[in-house]
Amino acid sequence: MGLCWKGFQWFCDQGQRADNLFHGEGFHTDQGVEDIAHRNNASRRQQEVSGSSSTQASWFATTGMAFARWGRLGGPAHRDAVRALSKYWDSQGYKVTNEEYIRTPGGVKSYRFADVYGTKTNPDGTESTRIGQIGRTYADNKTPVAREQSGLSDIQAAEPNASVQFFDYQAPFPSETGISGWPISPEPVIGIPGAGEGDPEVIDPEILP
Amino acid sequence: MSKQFQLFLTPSDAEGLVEELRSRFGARVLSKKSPTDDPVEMQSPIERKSIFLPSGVTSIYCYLTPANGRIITNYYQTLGLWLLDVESSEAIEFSGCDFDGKTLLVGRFYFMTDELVDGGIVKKRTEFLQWADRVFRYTKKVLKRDQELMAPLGAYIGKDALTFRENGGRFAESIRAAGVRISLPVAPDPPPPVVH
Repeated sequence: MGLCWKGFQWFCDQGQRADNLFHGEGFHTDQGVEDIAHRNNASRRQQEVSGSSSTQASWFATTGMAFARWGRLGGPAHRDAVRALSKYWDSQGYKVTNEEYIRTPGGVKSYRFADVYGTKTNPDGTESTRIGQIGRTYADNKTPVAREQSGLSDIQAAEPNASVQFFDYQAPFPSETGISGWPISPEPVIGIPGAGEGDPEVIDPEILP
Repeated sequence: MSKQFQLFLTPSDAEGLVEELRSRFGARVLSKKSPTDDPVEMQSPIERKSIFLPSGVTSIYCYLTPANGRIITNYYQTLGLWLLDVESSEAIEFSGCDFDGKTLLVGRFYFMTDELVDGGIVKKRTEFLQWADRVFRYTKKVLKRDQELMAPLGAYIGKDALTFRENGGRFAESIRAAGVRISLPVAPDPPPPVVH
């Protein structure tokens, strides 16, 4: 629109419409195309927050409230990462379970659910336990957010001989089993101020008998 | 989302329960591992191996599926085996309950109500979800609930497991509590292949 001479706006709009129609954007002006893209993006973002339209849509989405209700397995990106890690540990011979219940007495919470839990018997007869927690990091791309730190601390305290690792689901894992760059932190960062003060975890009501 | 509950079952409890689930709900018992892409059906859910080292120990790691349940298996080159994919399959994971005659480790029933398909989360078939809910309801009904075990969630106990506990047997809520020696992985895992 900005490129149109004053007095020729209508002709200019028609030209833009024809051009956009030709490029598959519909019979809209540039401004119209941008508006539609903006609306679609907003709608997509809202779906990401509230869940996919087919399974998770709720009235919260229509009210614009940012209320995630994915359950413990998280949204698609988190879930994808859980799957990748589970498969990777499966391929390493671990007996893998997801959402393993761990009692964490004395922790910030009295129990936790490990995203990925793997056990394997070593040649010396001992048992290796490997726990993978998947979540987000702060902007430095390596420090787990407070709620993750608190979870990691609780789990590590409850399972001191287990290898507890944190994986950032926003970091790239280039193939289904290739998790290059993971974990971003080999051991949890324990005792960081603010740990445990993050947003509360969503608990599946289904867990309650 | 997913559903799960914790339970304590001796091998005889587990075998009895699975027989009931077979006859009442047409449940099939599948192994996690298979040499082909066809899952292997198990006669008994009990495996003769466990995290407990002494001989004579047992464990459970199987999947309960409806007769017409959709089963997905994936091939693992490093193992040379096909493994059942619990996320995509219409199956209830039945695992744990390691038992050596002195200690009984907690086990669980677990299934996912949805799966990840092309970047979106899609509910599993209603027929499966209803079947799994019926199996959960029935199983909880025939077991005894103990609110103190696995607190605050509670756990369900089989008849034989109750007798075992009354006779001095120990229930363990975690591998560590069971007294199993846990060590860090012996060697670091080899680096995964990077696909660009």
